[in-house]
Amino acid sequence: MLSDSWTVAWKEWRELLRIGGGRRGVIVRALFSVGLLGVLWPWLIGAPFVASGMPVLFATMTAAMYVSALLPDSFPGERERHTMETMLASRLPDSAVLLGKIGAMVSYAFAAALLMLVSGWITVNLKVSGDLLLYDTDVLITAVVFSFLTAGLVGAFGTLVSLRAATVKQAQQVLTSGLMLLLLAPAVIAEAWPALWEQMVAAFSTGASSDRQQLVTIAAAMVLAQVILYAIAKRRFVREKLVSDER
Amino acid sequence: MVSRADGTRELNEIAIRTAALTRVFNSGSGSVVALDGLTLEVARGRIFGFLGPNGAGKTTMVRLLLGLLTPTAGSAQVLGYDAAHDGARIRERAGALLEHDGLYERLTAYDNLEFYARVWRLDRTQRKQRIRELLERFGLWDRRKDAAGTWSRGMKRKLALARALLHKPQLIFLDEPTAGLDPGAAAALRDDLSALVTHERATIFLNTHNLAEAERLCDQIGVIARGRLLAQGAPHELRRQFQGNRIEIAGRAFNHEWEREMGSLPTVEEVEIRDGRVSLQLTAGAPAAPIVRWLVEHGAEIEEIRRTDASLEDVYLQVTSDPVIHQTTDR
Repeated sequence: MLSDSWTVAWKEWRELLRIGGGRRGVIVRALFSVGLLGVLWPWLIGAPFVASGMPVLFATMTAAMYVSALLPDSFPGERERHTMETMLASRLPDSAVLLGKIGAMVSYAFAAALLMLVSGWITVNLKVSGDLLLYDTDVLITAVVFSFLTAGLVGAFGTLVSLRAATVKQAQQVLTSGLMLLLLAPAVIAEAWPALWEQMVAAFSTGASSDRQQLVTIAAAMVLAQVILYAIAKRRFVREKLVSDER
Repeated sequence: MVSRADGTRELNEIAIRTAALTRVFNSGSGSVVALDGLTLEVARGRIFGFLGPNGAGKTTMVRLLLGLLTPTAGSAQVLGYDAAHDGARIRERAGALLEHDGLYERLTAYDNLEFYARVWRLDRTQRKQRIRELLERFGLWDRRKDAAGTWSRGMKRKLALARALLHKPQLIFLDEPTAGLDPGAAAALRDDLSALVTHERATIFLNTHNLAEAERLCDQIGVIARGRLLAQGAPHELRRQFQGNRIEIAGRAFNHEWEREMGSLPTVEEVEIRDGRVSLQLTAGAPAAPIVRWLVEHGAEIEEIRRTDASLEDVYLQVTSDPVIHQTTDR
């Protein structure tokens, strides 16, 4: 099953790299999307960027944005382009198709988040002359781990949305709205949060948090949520339903 | 695997066998019977043509045989496996070119085949050899690095067909394979399909509207309309069964105004006078002599009288307009 998933992921990656016209398109898109969070903001903030919690937020945002932008093209997109039925008519097992597609999207988004971190680090060092500045180890680990978990979580949620959506447009609308809600909700309901949560978020966003236990708890909650969402997605990934939708 | 069929032939001689296969689609506005108690048999190493108008149930049939849909009632055995429960095993051994090409238009032609070659677990060397062999056979090798989306309809169809043949499947489902191909490419493709059946003993299940193609390629034909199999048999058998009592009289001094008068004769069902010929469809068993006498009495000079064969198109039109089930004995 893993080898089949890898095959599907290989195809998904090839397609992703060809959105917008081959290698040149990839480079232009990478520069544009990573440029804002990985170049502009680090340039404006300067040296404090590498020591703050901002890389964590930016990396997770990058991962979330990439997954939510790409998933609709992968599921309802394949149905719209009538490629899904041919794939389902092959020997590939359902789980391999599902895992391969999600794996490709999550790894692509994670790669974009890592690229953002690298470009941010290079930008800061180009701006600030003197000794080479490095990310705080905790910040870097947190950024890497949470961008991966965020990609996975948004990927799981996005897969559920995409499997239900009739069209790419519908999936994009639901995912964009969901992501906006996710980003804005903390600010809107901050007043109602318990003091402990407020402190935790504040510490997290300034990089002052040293309470790894809290981060581990959040990470564990994210993993659990993903497992549940993926299990639901697997139940909903029904070959007959997907084929009937193309009827 | 089922060890033995309930007929006289071993099951391994039969690629596809359906029994009262039925599929009903339910929607908010009611239910649609896409297939209605369809029973047929396709022998291994043969080309079976499945003819029918749009919406007749041909695509649903292929989906059921591939195990992509489950039947509402009845059963289907494909390559010895129950399509409802062993779809994965069938799909492992079958290739399919469905209604749509199903190509990844952003990927190159080569990558489209590379992906499916990996799906079918061809090793690196096999992949290279087989992809090159198929692309060269279909005249696509020189443009293998182009994105498939930039190709013409015919080229895409060829590429999709190459994809269906990659793993040398035992059973191939083809839905209008020559649609969009130029006559030369269509003829070459027909030769390829015949060769595939002859040399590799593959079985081909061909959905088509192209009656000439079906007549040229297929060993057996099934005609379906409104989800029901209306006729099944070898092309020559169907033509014989449906030719009816048709005669053609060649000669001189025919008058077009006789069409109405002849049409009112008790044994004449249809009559057409054109280009010095009178084409007649007579009632079953009616002799031609009284008609000939009638023509002579009206001043016609007769040179030749012959019975004519029905074309597959005649069979198709007759069967689809007359929903009585016809089945020839010679399968």
